[in-house]
Amino acid sequence: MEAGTVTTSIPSIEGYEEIVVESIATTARLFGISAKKINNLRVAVNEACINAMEHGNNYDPSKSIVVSYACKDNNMIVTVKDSGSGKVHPDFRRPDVEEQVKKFKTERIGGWGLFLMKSLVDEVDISGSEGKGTTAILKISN
Amino acid sequence: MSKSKSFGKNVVLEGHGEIDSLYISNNLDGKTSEDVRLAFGEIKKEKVLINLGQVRLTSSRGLATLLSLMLEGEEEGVIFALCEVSEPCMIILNTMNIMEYIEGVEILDTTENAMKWLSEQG
Repeated sequence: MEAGTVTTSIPSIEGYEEIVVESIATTARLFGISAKKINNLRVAVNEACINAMEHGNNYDPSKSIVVSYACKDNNMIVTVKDSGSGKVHPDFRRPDVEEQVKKFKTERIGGWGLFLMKSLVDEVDISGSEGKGTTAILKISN
Repeated sequence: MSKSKSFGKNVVLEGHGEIDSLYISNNLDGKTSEDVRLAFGEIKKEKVLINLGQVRLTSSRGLATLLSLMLEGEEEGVIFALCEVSEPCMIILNTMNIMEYIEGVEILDTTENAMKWLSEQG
């Protein structure tokens, strides 16, 4: 199949992320990306979409998330863009899960999204443009 | 004979003798994890099987909520067995090394083995 870019827009409503996750997984399979990489990519894209809905668009259903993806030369690149403030301070450090487990009664367990993305794909870049939203770019190579 | 109750579209709680079994399916997202929370509120037994075999997609938030509920249950003496853990759940559990920090929770391959393991506890 010839390389091409697919762009999908979804509302900031939980559940819609599954549409793009499955579509990306299907595209990756058609282009011969390994099953293990596809499984990791599904989780990473899901986290990127949920982050965009929550932190970017505050779950405002009228605000969209634009997801673009393309496979070329054994690389798959996925771009997830929200409609938020664009102010970003990405922290990819491993969350202290042991500490979170100890303090689960007083502090929420979580904040794993960026670390998961970084761990599961080959490259991640998060950038923002004030007033124009935040963009997460995920890349896997076969 | 088992009793069954559904919570939302993706969560079912069943009672089998001394074991309560929670079946989670489809997308373990924020909404489903709130249904899981409601189901946990109705767990009466001290041995609980959680079947994740039909979870096709999960967010870390969904899995973290499940983890918090299990920790709360553990403090009250509940023993948990996770079984048929699907690939998306396993990816997050492994990447975050979660099971290293949780005591008293066993991961088993099949429902049958989880039931057997729970029956042998306490």
